[in-house]
Amino acid sequence: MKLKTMLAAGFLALATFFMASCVKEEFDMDTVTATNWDPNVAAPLINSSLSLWDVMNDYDSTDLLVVDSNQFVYLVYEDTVYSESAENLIPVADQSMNYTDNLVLGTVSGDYTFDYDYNFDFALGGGMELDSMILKAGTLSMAMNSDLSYPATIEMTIPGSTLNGAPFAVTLNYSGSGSSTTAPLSGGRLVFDNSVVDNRLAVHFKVTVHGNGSANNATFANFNMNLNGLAFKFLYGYLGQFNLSMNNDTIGIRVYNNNLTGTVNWEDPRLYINVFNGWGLPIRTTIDYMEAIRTNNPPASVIISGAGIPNPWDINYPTAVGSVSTSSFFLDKNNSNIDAALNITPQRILALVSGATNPNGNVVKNFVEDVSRMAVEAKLELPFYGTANGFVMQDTFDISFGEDLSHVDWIMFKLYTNNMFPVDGTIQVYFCDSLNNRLDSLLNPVDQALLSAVPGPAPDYKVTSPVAKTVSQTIGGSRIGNLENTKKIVVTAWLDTYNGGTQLVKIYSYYKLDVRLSAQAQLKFNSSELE
Amino acid sequence: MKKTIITFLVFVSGIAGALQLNAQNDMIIQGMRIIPQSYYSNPAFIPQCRWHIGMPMLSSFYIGGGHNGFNAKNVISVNALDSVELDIESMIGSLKNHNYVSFEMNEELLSFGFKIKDKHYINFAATERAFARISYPKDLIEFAFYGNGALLDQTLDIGNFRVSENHYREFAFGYSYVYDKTWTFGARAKILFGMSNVNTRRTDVTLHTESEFFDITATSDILVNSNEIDNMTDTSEDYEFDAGRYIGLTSNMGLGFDFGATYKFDDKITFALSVLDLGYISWKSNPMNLTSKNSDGSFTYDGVDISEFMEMGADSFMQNLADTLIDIFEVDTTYDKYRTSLNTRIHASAFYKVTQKDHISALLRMHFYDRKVHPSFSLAYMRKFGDIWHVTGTYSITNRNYANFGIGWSLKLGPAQFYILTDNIFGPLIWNRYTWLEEKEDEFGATYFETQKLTIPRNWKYMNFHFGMNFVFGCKPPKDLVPILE
Repeated sequence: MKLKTMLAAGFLALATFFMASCVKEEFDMDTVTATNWDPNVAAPLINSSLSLWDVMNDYDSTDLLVVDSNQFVYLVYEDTVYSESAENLIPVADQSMNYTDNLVLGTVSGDYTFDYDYNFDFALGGGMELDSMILKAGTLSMAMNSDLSYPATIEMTIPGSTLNGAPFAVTLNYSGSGSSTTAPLSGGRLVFDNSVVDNRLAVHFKVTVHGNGSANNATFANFNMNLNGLAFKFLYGYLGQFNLSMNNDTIGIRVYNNNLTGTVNWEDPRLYINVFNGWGLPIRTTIDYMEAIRTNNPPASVIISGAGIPNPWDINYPTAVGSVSTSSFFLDKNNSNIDAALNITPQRILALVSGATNPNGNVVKNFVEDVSRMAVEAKLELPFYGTANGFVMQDTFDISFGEDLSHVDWIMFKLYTNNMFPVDGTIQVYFCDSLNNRLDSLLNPVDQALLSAVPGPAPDYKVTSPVAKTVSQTIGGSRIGNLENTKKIVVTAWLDTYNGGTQLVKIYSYYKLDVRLSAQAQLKFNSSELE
Repeated sequence: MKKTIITFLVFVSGIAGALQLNAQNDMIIQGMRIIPQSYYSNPAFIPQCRWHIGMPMLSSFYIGGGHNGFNAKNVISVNALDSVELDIESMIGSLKNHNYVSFEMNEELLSFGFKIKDKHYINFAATERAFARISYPKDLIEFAFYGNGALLDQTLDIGNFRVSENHYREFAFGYSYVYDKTWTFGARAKILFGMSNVNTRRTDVTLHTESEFFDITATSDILVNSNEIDNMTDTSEDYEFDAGRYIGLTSNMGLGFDFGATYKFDDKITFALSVLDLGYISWKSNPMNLTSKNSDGSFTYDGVDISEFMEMGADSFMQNLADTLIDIFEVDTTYDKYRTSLNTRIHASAFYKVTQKDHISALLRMHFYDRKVHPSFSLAYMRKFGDIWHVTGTYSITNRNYANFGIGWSLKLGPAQFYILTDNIFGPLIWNRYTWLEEKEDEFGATYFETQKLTIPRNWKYMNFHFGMNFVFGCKPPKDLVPILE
């Protein structure tokens, strides 16, 4: 028995040893069949609480939203439609003078002096009658031609005028015919004598001949003087009549740049024209016409007219150097058709304005400084108060979802809005190829993503509570292929103010549009593709 | 790539399977009273032999490991077309919320024990103990495979990677007392010297995706303590590990206690209960703590604020987002001492003497760690072939595995006793072999294919070996010895 037991135990030990080498199954890993890995991923994409500033930012980042004390919002477009400095308006041309006199002089020993007096008449346009001119740039060139054999000294002076505070004088040393000299005119003050001829300067030449007793037989003396590159610092007198080129300036209304169709009725639009005049001279302007122009399809235009447009319009001018006078008028729906003009959703307003200086002639002394300007500024003020109907906006963006979306089974987009604006909105995203051919659309069928909040009673029309809406859409199957070929997306929004645009609304600064966009995607991978 | 994935899965299931779930001793030993080391499973278990001296360094060597997650057989199978299939769903289905991979090794340096007048038993043992346990969450695997979109409104515990590594030296003094013919009591007091430790107190990293807007919320709360793990952070080139200092460490002292009792119900039935490893170690030498600066750190990503994005620009926006995340989830490093508890076990067992040579027993073990109870159950049959050869077979349920068959024997040749035990003999003996062709280049740059093989146990969720050599004396029991097993 004991032997049996020992044998049994030995067998057990042997079996244990034998089993140690037992390979039950063998797997050829090169025959592994594809294994699917189908993760589902979900993530929020956008979570924004958008104010009017955020909404307008894309279109009007350079424009101004203004809030009044009641938190009511205005959209303001300001443009300088004309701005000109006096030095650009009044050019001073180069001036020249040339005189020849007899010079009868024989042999001389020692100095001999004689004088000439001439008139230097400035040629200036527009009937200008200058009393004085202060120069900030310019060059005087003076030359003497003669058959005089002796050296001579010529001193030219302009009585009453100064150069850098001293009496105006320039000296020329004559050594032979054609001797010349130059002098800078910066800092020169020229005083004109208009008693006989306009814009006349009296010029005096004092000639001192230094005779040495040698033979001489002079017969003539010629004096030539040029003033080149003149630029004034200050002009005083009568500056004449000039036309002001103020045409073809526009105010861009960029809020409408992306508009396709629809109407917006601004209840209280205002167009301000302000002129800031630093020129000391009367100006009369004529507003030839103003026109609201829609350049988007379908093109349209409305000429802005009404009693509010002053024609002609005499611009105020300053009476002291350095001051600026202001002249203004404004148009609203009571004195013009500005409201009708804006209803066509124009992209710009064109103003054709002409003007002239000293319309009544030489009745008042003028003055201008070189840097003094006249500017015309136009300000379009659009209070967010009115209605909109069928207002369609569209914008295009480049995008790529990737060349290979074969690992995407479907994508679900979920859009949530919580809207405090009294605006209904339907938004569609079109997926397009590089040639703008529409391949697919996000919402199929289209669904209204934005529900208008309900405005309160007049006159404030305030919204008290927002309205929420959730829209979701799943793109799967063959539609995924459309995303692969998408190179652009076109975002189109159809907007109506509350109740189909039939009820007046106002927009306040505290209105918010909460937007949440989330996405969920079912992916599909095959282990054989993970090589 | 797919081979890489497959190989990874096979390795995880196989190699991890080589590691034992619980830092614990084998269950099979408790019925083999001829082996003096059975005393360690209950200090009231007075060994059969009156004297024993363990062979220094060889008296008891235990190595074990386990993985209670998935097996290779859960993941890889052959279909009807004779192709290999990878079944991730099956793998996930075999996981629990928290899955453990663990490893333990105990080396008894010196031990001896002796009885005094059959009423008292004295034992001493010096043992080097080391174990490591890593847990990983099922949620992370599910998150990776199914995606967050399939797990909406669930808080995914994706960061619960807990690491517990403990190496300490134990000096144990045991005393057992036969109170009367029915009761025996025993206790062991242990002085512990910690060598190294990594202890993950908290790694609570969660991810929650809500279903309405898919907002994703992440939370993080981390506290990891470590000791003598300088090289976790010390990347300086001149750092050198001082092995001599490490071995002689006495700074990290601790205390541990084992308590046990047996009750002899009648001549055939005995009950036993023990509480093991009650105690702690204070880690003072070179501690390091990694802790979340913001323990309530939470971040919810709910989408990009367009107006903020446009205002800041993409670069600034992303930088701001990164700064926010750092503020919330940044981990701080401190160097404070800390204390860890031992992993306490409770053993409840029953013994039935069928004949003088045939004994059966049952053991219910409850292991406490990670604030949970981890139970195991074992049935054993022991056959004595005289006092020379004792053979035991066991069936155990452990590591969520119901097919663990153990075997052990002890052989006494004169005073020399040899023993070898395992709780799972079949696991490591039945293998699967995985082969594939791998492209290689020879020395001339020509490519060729070489067959690669990986052979791993088919179902190796729990495995251990325990063997040793003692010198034993006075092993023939007197007929009136209590308790009743001999």
